[in-house]
Amino acid sequence: MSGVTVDRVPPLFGSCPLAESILEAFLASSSLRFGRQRSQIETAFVLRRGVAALMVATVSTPFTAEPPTADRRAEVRLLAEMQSVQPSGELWVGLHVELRPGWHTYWTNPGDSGEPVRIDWKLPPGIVTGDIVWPAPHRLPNPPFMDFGYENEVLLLIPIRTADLRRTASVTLEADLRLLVCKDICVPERSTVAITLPVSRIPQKRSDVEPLFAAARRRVPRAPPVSWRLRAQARDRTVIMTIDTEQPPHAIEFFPLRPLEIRHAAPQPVRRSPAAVSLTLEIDERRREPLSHLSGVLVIDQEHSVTVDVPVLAERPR
Amino acid sequence: MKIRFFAFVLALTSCGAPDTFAGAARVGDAAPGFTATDSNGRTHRLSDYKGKLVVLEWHNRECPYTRKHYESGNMQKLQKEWTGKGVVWLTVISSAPGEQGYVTASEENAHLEKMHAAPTAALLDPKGDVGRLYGARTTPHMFLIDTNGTLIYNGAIDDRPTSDPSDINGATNYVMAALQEAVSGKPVATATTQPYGCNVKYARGTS
Repeated sequence: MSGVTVDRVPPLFGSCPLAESILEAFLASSSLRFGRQRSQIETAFVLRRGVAALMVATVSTPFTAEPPTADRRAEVRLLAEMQSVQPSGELWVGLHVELRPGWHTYWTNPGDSGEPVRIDWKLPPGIVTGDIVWPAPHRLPNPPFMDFGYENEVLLLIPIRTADLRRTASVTLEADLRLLVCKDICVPERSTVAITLPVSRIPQKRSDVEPLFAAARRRVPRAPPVSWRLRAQARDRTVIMTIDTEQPPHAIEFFPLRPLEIRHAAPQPVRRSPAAVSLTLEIDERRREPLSHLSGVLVIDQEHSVTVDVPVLAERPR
Repeated sequence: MKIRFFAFVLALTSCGAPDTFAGAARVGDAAPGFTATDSNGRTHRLSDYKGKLVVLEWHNRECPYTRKHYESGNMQKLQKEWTGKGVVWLTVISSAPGEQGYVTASEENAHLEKMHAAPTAALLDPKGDVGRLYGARTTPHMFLIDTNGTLIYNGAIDDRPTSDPSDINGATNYVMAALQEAVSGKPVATATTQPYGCNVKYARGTS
């Protein structure tokens, strides 16, 4: 897949430019799974080269998925936030996953086992997709280990950019999915999802999915509040992450973006004081090098989480 | 007083799952010694194999990621090639009774034959002792121990963390690379990677 880079992510937080630029920075700095790293600026978008062609309008329902079978543990749909795509513009789509009770799927760092969803897009010319914008994960204990992901329901937001579709009546976005769902056993569920959207200059929100998209946005980690000062200090085989703030959050949990840095299953003792809260994070027992950077998500609750990207100050020799 | 109690409760509740820490098998350290019984009732100790290279392969015959490497013949090919060169290859099954992948000795022997697998032995670890000792997280999860008993590889079988057999061709096989480096006296370039697969099915509800 060649990479002509696109420099901007379509607005996620609408009227908040600060959140936009920070989200962009987060997307640019997020890395993929081990062994498949891409350069920072390629991360947000990958443009598929193709010869522009007229698309024949296809008649279809707004979204389709593999027909459910009795065995399926996850229902997956591709949803578009808007009723149409602009000839040149941006749009958010979402992969809506509904899981049977007891089954879960995984975050970008799945933890000690598991695998995040794999999406193979089939797109017409003029359409570019970006990386998934992951909602804050949950802990999925697996004693003595720990995974990270989602139960019940999750909407994975994906940015789409269109270019030069003036002469196109409609476009179909299709994706082959591989979604690992686990309970006591693991099943890699394959499905194909597709959505056909008319091309129109005037974007209108789909009211039926508006609540879903709004809820998904609330679950996406944001930049830390300006009133916070986040710092990380190495100490023995731990990293002490401290937030200096006048109103320290109550419960907090840290989720590392990459494996082999912080031990996933380790408890994270919290110490709270009037103007600070600190978490003690254990270095993964297999890691040999010191950890120089702490990257991940700090979750206060499902709708309040922040991205963390701070250097780890080396321990001063004693 | 109230605040301290509240903070204590907060600290507890923010801890997540109880810490039931597994052992540390860190590359560069001595590989943890173990004793285990194989599917033929024979006892194996890691110390029996000093002077030999030892591969440990965590296994669950029903896990899609294990099946990827077995239905393609990929794992068996490695086993044959390297046991043929004097490497000790130990398949380890740490699934607890009642969990996926648990097998009796005779079931395992039948499975080995059916799959034309060629490990030196298949160790039955239903209590998960060896698994926990090594911090075995997934099936497959691979370890390589050198002739001095030092752990020189801990991680994934290859660099394509999927359950798709079509991802085997073209993947970098970390275990093969580590074995080749070890036999030629070179340091292992990629010594620790994140393993991928299904979680090892330790007994639930206990640590």
